[in-house]
Amino acid sequence: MKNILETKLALNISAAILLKKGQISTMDIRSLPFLSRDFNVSVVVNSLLRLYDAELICHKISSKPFLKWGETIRLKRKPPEQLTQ
Amino acid sequence: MSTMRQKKKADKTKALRAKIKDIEKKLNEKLTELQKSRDNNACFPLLMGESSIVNAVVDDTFEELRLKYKSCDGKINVIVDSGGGDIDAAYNLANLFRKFGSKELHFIVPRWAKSAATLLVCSGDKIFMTPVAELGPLDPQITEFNPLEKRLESFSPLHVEATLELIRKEFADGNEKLANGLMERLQFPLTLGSFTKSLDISEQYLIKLLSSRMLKNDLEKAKQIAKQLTTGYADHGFSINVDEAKQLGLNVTELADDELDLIWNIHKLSREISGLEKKIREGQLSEIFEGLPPELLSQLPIALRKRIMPNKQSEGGGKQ
Repeated sequence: MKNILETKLALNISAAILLKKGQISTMDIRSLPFLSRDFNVSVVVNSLLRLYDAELICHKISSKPFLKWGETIRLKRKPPEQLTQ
Repeated sequence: MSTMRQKKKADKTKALRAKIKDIEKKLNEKLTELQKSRDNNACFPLLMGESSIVNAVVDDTFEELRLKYKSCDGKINVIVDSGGGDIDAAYNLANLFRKFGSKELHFIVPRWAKSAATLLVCSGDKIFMTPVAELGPLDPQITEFNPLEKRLESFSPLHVEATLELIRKEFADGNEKLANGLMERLQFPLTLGSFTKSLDISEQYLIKLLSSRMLKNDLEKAKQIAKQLTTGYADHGFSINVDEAKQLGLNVTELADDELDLIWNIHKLSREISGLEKKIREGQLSEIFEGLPPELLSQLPIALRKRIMPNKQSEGGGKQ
């Protein structure tokens, strides 16, 4: 039960950030302070990709001392808030 | 946000970044030590954390190998920490490492090389695992929207066969109503067919990789292992530890003594970096939270709201 509520809340907040900013990284989702340590972020990621016209982009964050990658979910079309700027 | 609070936050972030730099330095030293302990053969850290193996990872790894590992003399050790990813990208990455490790290719697994990362580590000559390292089955994971239940569901193609078997059994037992009910809830047959077919891709890749390197001249054994890894385990999360991997017939050695200490330290340092990066991000998130709709934020527990948006609370904002 706790897990379902946790997932629902994580999905709602992540969706709000995605719609506001036009993107959200998996690191952002993982960093949501109410999530338990073993929370399965991929459920939220897959749901966002399904629910919105969005794509998952993998990008290199750094190469020292070793290669590091990050993943970002990005709306294919910019949110209205950003279009007016 | 007040200037005072902003400054405090910036200082905290700066301190965390400095700590990361310090740990990165230590990690570099450990990698050099590892290289020395392995006859000075090159060591490539593929510490993916929570990122998946995708095509972009292949591109970046290729560039890194061309840039820094050209003189590795065909011998390379790859430290893998990955939960998996795209099977085609993992196969491509495996072939890339085989080119740079044409004489000797060893994979070292401190903790995880699950799913597609298992395919990757099976592509070399030998796998080194700590006592807590895990490989995993290779049945692909499919996430599909279930229109009847109106929710996303993750499942393995193995579940398709198990469901069909269940329906067959209900029919055979004379429970036609139940069997028909189950049939109605099944997806389009072509989709089901494509799900089950995806198992073959993993199996074919694995046979190709195993039979051309680790199990050269033993095609039958390679086929047997590939079958077991794609369809032989009940759950995708099954933990294949060092003993299970040996029983399967893979060329695996358990790390011990100094080398185990070294590898485990590398793993711990890399996790420590991830933890600190998460902390930095957590701090930055509070600014984003402030712009979110209040009705959404009111769903958060009060204590948490106070923690992530202290100025909102002090201004009397937010629902109690």
